Amino acid sequence: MIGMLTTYAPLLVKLGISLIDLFVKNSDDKVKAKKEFIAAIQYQATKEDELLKVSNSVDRQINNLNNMRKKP
Amino acid sequence: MLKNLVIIFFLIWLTSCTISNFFEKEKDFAAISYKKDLNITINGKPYEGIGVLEKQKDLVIRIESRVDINMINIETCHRDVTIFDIIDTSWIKPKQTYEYRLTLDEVEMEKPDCSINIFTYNKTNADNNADAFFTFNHYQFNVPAQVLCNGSELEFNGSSVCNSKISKPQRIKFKNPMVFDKSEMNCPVKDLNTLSFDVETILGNCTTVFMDMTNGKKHKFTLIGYNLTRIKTK
Repeated sequence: MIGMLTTYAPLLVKLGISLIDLFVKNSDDKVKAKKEFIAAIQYQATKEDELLKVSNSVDRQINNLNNMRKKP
Repeated sequence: MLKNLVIIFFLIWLTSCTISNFFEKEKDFAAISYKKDLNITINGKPYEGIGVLEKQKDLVIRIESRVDINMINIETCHRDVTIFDIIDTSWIKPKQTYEYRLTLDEVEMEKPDCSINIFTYNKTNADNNADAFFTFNHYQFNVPAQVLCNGSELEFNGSSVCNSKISKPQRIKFKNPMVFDKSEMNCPVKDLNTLSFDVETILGNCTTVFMDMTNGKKHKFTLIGYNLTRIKTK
């Protein structure tokens, strides 16, 4: 009995650690991904409107370039 | 013996959870721009992340995915549309498609620059998120240009787009001398001569309008800088 225990105990410990590691990693990854998903939605909803900012900048550039051309 | 082992396993699990939560930092989305990587078909034409579209009222956006898409966000200079759970894959149907018809209204049709951002999100693995950017040809932009973008030589008509890593300069070349508005310095543009310009890639979207002084014709160049690339796992 003691002989069996000394032979298989290290293997069982390694297997146990691997299983715990896998379980912890998987659940941890899922929690992280879900947190990031929610954070991304929140960011998307509150961030500065870059497309509108660029659109307005293009309007200004067109206007300024047209004025440059009108100048003698 | 068994009791001790159970206690040891429990302690290892508890410690790993505590340590990972302690070092975990919230992602600063404002400081991140991913490489545009969404494979998408618009009006039957396939695109990889970026593209220049003809300005037409109806756009049929088609996405094919092997992973679940839990949210899609379609944004223009005028609208913001969010739809949840558009693709739900399973082992029976590992690949699925989603189609969305975007009808541009008069604001989106008239504006010289009203681009589209498309984001897709997967809630179980953030690396499976993807996004794409599209700009439009517009009657106000009609000067052709050659763009040296990330090692590729690309030809464009009136509007051009390039996605590259931040700080790397990209080049735009014209056949006739061009000028740009130096007072609107949202992009670091360096004129090599009147025909060639280097634009340093900055984080996010940066658009420069070039004009031929002799006839007033213009070209619009959009450069989108990224600092991260997603590693696709499936």
